[in-house]
Amino acid sequence: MKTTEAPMFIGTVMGIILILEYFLNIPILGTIGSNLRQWGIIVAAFALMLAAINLIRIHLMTLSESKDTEERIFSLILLAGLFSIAISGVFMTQESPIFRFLFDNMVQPLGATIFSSLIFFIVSASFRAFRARNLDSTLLLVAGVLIMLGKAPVGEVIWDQFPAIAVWIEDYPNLAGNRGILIGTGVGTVALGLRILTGLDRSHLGGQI
Amino acid sequence: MFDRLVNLDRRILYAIIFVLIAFPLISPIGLPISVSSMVVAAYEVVDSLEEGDVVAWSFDYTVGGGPDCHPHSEAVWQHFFDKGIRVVAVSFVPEGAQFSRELVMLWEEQGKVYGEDMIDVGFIAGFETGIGEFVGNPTGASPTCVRGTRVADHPIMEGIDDVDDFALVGAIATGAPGPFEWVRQLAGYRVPYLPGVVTVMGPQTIPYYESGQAVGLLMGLRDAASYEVLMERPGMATAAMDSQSFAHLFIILLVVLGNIIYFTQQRREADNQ
Amino acid sequence: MSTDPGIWVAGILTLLAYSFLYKDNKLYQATEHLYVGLGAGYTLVLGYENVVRSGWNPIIEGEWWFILPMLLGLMLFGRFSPGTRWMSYYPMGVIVAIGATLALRGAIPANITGQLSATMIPLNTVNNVLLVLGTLATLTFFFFTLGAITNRNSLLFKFSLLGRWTLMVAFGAAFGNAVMGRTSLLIARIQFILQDWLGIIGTGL
Repeated sequence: MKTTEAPMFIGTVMGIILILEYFLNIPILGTIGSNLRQWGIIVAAFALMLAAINLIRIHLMTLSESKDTEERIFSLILLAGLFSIAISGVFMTQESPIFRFLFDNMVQPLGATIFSSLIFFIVSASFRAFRARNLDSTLLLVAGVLIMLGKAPVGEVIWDQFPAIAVWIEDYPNLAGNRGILIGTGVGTVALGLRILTGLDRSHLGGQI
Repeated sequence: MFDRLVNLDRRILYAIIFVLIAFPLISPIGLPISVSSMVVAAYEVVDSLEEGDVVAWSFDYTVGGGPDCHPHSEAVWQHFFDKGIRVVAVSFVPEGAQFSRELVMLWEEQGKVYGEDMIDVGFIAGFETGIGEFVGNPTGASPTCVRGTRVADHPIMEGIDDVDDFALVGAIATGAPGPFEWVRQLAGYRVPYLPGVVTVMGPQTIPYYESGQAVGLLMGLRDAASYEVLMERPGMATAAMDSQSFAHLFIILLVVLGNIIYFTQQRREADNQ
Repeated sequence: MSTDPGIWVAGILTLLAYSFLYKDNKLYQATEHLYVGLGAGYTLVLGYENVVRSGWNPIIEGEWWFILPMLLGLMLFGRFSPGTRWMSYYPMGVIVAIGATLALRGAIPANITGQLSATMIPLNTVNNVLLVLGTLATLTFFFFTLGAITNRNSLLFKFSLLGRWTLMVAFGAAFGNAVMGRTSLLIARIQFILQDWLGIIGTGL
């Protein structure tokens, strides 16, 4: 019961049912498969809650045990944000003014701002780090520059062939490289799936790979 | 001069990129925007749909990628409703549910009827598992919609037993679940699939378009602007293109300048030895 | 200039988040913690909603067998204690197995046969030859442990170099597009600051 054998076995049985569902057109298998997927959705929803609850646990521990005032203030801010949106969303629904205010005026702008900060680091790296030291990095930089010139409207104004060059890069060498990656990923996905279903890979159960 | 360039404070670069982006927004130039074949293909697929057709549209993007992705949804939904096509909104990323909510409310204000012209099934957990259940059982994957009513009871879902009953599946993504998951789950179905992705994912998604597994491809704000051009309705995406041009030129200049400095330093060190 | 307090809150938080670009500071760190908390709380709301909608409501309506996945979900919380960690193996085993199987069965037509058949094109143009050779070379590059590849004098190693160069061009395309994508995110924030908040630019084109 407390080992990884039983959960692995249950997972394997479910996996076999889903594979049979895919290849055999038997209605009962379709129904069972659909139910299994709904089970997966429900457990995944609990997993979403688990992540947030774990964060609450960690930061409550910080509040109660840490001697660092600054750390405790940051934890308090985090928990205040978490509880305010969670309580308003759960008990007052997502249409409540508080939830809407928190999401529309805090979550959305902050998320967009933090992700947009990456362009500043790209700017800095463009000047300090992107060096054509060897053939590999030269190919990468030249391709990147040609794509940027081809896709921005100003590129076509500078030389009307830049868009065509960018399209060629994307449709041929880029396609070849990414197609190779996709095929390799597909083989890897099949291999990993089989390893999980046969119990060779139990890393998700806390076991050895 | 050379040493000052080498040691240039990066905050000066940040200020320059900010100004270069802000200036064309305040005083637009209006550089012409060309349209790629993949966007034309996407446009033609939507244009070929008939009034009354039902499509599924998945909002699989986060707030971080929203500015790059949401313009796709806005432009294509405009096209859908211009043609009288009905839309089933869904999302497999938690934050995507807010973008679908925003569009549904916007179109309700413009007279579209919830449950008949459009419906928001809401967020379905499980990533690829959720997608797998939705394609096989669209009315059962999420039994109730975001307004608490049963999905199957709405007129728009009549006759929708699996994903092949949709005329088109569109899914806009910033990461996972995205085109890789959708193409895997749609294997075995015949419904046309139109992916939209954040720009950085574009090159990885092109193989699906070239192999025919996707009927078009929308990559980021640039392609949203192109779609607006095809619709002859310039919007926020079009307005952003001048700023995009300036930013690109600046970054290319930095790459070139940075490499000139690098090779000059290399030569100086070689000369000193 | 906007008079909406929500826009002002959004604007101030935007500037606080960007303050990191000047120098790391306590206000930025506080803003970061606020964002993490709000994001986690939002996820909690959506997770709860899904549990109620997909699990609890069916039980109330008589589909009692949904008690099983609900129990499995609750067992996930056993992870918090070393003595009960074994309970979380069951739901983990279930969702990983289901997810892996769904990915496995779709990967063959989507990634393998679909892409391989798309690579089988007539070799009647230079571009087509480049495409097929590039794809094969990229696949060859990924055989890291094959003896013929590790021997740098072998023909296979030289062919795999073509794969590496093809990948470099592909990554260059990704870099160019990454710059484009990130730029558009910044454009959107500046549009918000100048248009929605300060009212310096209008909405018309």
